[in-house]
Amino acid sequence: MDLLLLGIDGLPRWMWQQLADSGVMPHSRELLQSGTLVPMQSSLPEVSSAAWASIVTGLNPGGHNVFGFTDLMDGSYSLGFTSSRTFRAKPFWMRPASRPSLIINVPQTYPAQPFNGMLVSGFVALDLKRAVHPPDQLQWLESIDYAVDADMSLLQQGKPRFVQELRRVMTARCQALHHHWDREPWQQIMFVFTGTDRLNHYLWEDFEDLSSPLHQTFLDYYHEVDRQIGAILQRLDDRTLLAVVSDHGFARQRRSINVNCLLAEAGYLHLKPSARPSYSDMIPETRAFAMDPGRIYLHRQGRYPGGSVQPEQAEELLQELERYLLQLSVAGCPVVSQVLRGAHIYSGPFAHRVPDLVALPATDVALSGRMNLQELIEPTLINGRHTHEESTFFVRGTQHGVIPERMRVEDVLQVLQPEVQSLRKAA
Amino acid sequence: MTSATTAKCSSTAGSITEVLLGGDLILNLSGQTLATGQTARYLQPDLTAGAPDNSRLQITNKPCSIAWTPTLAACLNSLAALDADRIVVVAEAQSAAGHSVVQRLTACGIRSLLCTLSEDCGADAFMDEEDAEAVAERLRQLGYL
Repeated sequence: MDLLLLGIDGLPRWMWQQLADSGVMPHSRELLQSGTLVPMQSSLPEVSSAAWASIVTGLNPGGHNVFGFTDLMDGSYSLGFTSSRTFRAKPFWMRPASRPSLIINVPQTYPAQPFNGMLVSGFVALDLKRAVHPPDQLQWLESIDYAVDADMSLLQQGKPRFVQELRRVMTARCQALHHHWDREPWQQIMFVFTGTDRLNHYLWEDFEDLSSPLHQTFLDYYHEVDRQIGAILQRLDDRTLLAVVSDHGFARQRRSINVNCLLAEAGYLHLKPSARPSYSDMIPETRAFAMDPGRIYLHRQGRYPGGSVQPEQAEELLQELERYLLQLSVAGCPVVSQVLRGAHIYSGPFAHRVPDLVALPATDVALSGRMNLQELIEPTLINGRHTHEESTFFVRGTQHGVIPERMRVEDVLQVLQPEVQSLRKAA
Repeated sequence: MTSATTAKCSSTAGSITEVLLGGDLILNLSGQTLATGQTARYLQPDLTAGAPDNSRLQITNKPCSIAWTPTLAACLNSLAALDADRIVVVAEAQSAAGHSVVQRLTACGIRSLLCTLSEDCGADAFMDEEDAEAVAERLRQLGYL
């Protein structure tokens, strides 16, 4: 096997090192001594769908067309949920020269698309029948009670029950990995642990609070992840290039703030009255609106049916919005730490679909872009949020490409497959 | 047109007005019909000039697309005399014609914008409609909606 790419969704680089050093993740400790671990910058925005798409294609969202879990369909206000069909760039396992690959639980790969290998889709997969390629592998997966996602409703029965569910789902996924690994001489395997992201979202406060009765529960889950990593390492020989990546970092979340509420308060967003507000309720007076988590779009004439912002008005409006977003505060705390121009950070054939601005949240804040404008600070059980900085990149050994000084998610393939990527870029 | 800068962007045939400014002249090499509205001005071959090689361009308010021929390249410098702030060259992403035209325009001191066209991202690129509610619920649970 040439490559094993292991994903650990939402694992911050610093936390992996900390848990390895403290003995919670002993296999990781040994692994980290055998290669290079660096912090990596997530995609912009720092959302899993866009970040994993960048990791597996080597492109930023302007190149692969996934900017978040939601997007508006071109020329309309219809909200669409991004899928494997939104991908307009080929992931590394679908490139013409790729030999058989085993791909399990990579987000944004649903519904499963045909290719030379086996794939079980990750988040937001709904129906296992449409999440598996080739379909004849479905029956075995059903026989082990493989779940495309954890049952999040179990949170209502308490966090311990929820963590138990995360463990059940991880166990089945790892069982599937080893079963299918044995079946064929795969050239490439990619497997992603995603329970870590869910755990971090809901138990981050317990991780930070050493006196929390669930602090140990949090650590125990990572210990189990590490045990599974150990089982994978045991099967690898030295010839296989091994890399471990995460899609974003994590930090505490104290409040989730709806950017569309702020834009409406400031007169940028106007909706007609509606029982279930949506983007189609925007009226032409709207000059800007947000989509999750911090994507800001000008309501441009030509791009949207009722768009009113003319090209010659755009620059002044962008500057105004930048100033506005950066000075915002809610409950005395800043909301936005940084505002970036879409035209500066994205490139590629889908650069015309990019958000005009991307706002990065201030400390303790998560941004959302709901159209229900009733609550500026949204009630949520979530207490951990994604960060753009400090996602994880690790590669074992020295037989790999140059690791950039500021490693980004779209650089992963260039480091792991420098020859393949160079040929691709030249083409 | 005194500043010979060239910019690049991408758009779709249906949303091209998002990149157009008032004083633009459009040189559409894409073969597609652009949704530009009634005030847009296009460049088209001047067939009345008795030039069988289509070697002159004129302004029209009628949306059109032209097939690029090397002989047209010779007349690009005459565009500097036209009443336009900028020439917007619209071409398919994989076409080399757009790049060579803007290179020539720059050499002639004419300000231009190369706009490459991409496919629309419509309903077929997203989750099936019958899955929308279930997906929305999943995303709500993680704070995305």
